[in-house]
Amino acid sequence: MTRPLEHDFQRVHPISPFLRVGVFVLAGILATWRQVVEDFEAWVLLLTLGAFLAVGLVYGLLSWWFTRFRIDPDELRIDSGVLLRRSRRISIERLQGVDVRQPFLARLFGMAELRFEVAGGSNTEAPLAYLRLDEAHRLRGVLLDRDTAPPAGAAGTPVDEQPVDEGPADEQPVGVEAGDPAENTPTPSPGTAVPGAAVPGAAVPGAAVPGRPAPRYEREIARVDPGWLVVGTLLSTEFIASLVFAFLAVVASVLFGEIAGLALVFPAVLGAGSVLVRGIVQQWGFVLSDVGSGWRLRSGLFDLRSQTVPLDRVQGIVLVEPLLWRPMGWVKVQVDVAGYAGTAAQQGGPSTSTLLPVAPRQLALAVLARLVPGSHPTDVPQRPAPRQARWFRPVGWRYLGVGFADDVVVTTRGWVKRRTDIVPHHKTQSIRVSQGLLQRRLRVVDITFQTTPGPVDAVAKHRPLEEIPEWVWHQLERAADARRLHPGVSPWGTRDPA
Amino acid sequence: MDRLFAPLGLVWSPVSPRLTTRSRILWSMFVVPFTVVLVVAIVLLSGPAWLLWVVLVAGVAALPVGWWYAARRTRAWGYAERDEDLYVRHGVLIRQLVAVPYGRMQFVDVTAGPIERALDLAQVEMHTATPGTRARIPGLTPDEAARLRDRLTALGEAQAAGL
Repeated sequence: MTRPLEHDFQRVHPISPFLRVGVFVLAGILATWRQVVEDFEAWVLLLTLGAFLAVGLVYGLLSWWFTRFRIDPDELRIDSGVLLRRSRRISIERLQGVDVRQPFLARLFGMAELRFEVAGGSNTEAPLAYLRLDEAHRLRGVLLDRDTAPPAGAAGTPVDEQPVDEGPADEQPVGVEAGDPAENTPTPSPGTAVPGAAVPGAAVPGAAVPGRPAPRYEREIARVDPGWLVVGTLLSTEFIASLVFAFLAVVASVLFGEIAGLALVFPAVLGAGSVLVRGIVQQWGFVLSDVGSGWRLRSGLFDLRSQTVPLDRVQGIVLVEPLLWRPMGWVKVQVDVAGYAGTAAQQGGPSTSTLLPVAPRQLALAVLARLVPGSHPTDVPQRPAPRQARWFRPVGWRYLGVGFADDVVVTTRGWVKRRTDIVPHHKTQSIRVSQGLLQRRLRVVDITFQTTPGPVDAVAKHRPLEEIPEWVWHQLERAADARRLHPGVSPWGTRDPA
Repeated sequence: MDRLFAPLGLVWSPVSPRLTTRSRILWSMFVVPFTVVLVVAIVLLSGPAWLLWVVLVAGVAALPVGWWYAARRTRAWGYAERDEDLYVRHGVLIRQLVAVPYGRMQFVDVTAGPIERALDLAQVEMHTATPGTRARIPGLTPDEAARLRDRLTALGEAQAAGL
């Protein structure tokens, strides 16, 4: 079967070069604004902008004309380049995820870009931009269904295998229609969180668009109230640290003269601002929903991001509770996802690793219960650290603990920022024991339950020597038993060689 | 020698004593040129005589200390093959143990640099989906490295577990 799965080569939407030109013009303004402000001359400004516009348009049109893509049975092929021709092949089998993102300018025009996460690659492939929003969702569906479909030759055409469930809902952001610039909040009635309840998403008129695959379903799991987000970010350790830094900088500028202090105030304000942007703007309207093939995360005040986490690739979970969130009982939930290694850290902000940026404990536990069915990781009895640990952590040693249940191992630590790391037995990659010089004197060791890269860091700190067999030997046995129960997914696509 | 991991009751295979030779060569290749450069610089810039003596004594003393430490480090390396997991221990100041189930293995690397090849040594490294695992065994004879690689690959395939 060599026939392309989709039609022959296609181009991205013809509006793309014009959207890109917007970026060019912005760059031009940024490059020249100093001169404009210092000695304003209208013709210089117009000439510069005109030049940027013309160059940008010509380049944009050319690159649009020469960029074509095609979905083959086992790869996505993107040919691009005006002078240097380039043909990229993205293996569909190695595709870990396809994310639909809407940068602000594109969102005004109802356009979206497709981003690809590839197993083994440390970075995200260049996005396919721009496509109509519904076309982007359709392509995403085709690519992902291809991925989860049985290998070629099995019964049925893969494209038809949609998870058809109750509820005529659609995966498209509710209410966002192509070319609807007035749409700013993608979801109805923000606020109320519905823990664990199956709320069928509203039907979408777009379901009638010809060429669209069978309707998918989307059920909301949790919604983050903007109020929690604002308060939570303002009370987060990072924001308070940058405020303290700014305050110290102001004090320093008063004490030692203006210049030295101001040099510090600027980065401090910048730091605080970036915390606010990452915490509030990027996570605005955060919605977690079940889309059958995984959980979808959607958020963004200007740039709308939507990413899907395949649940069987979740390798570990961490609950973070900063000091000032505890009076409200708020929790942040993050996960390690296999295959999304580099992207989470590089792009910053809301990545697939954050399942809930801030939520009441009740809601977080409801989400946790769906991630690790059958056990209550937060109720796992924790063995406290031995008294010797107080030499390393005079206060925090009381908060160190480790425990295991039938299916998970749980470590806790942190006094100011409390964290609970949860690793399912069948996801444990390896176990590391390490002992520094002082630890040798005090007869304790650190034991790490290692998972794939991500925010989870399950370390049982300062355990007594007698526990080594328990946490290495017996833990590995528990892991081996659990692996036999849960074979898991192959790291390369979903086809398990076993 | 290593009582820390004794409760596990494992039978540790040592690595080749030639690993000590390799560490000593590397250490000397660092200390000797460094001392020479410093001495030449002090003489050329006509620095104080006591500084010259300090550098010379430190340089000469660093050699035996490094040589002794290299031997300790070699003895700290050890590995144990069990039915389902590979254990690797190492480290003198910070002692570490890594336990990796064979089923978690993604691939095995066998490497040998120029000094290793001259000394008839090779290193086996077992990679999992976690970069933090680093189950690395240096100082194996090429035969042992090949045997370990084949065994790890075979067991890894037989017990392969999904992520």
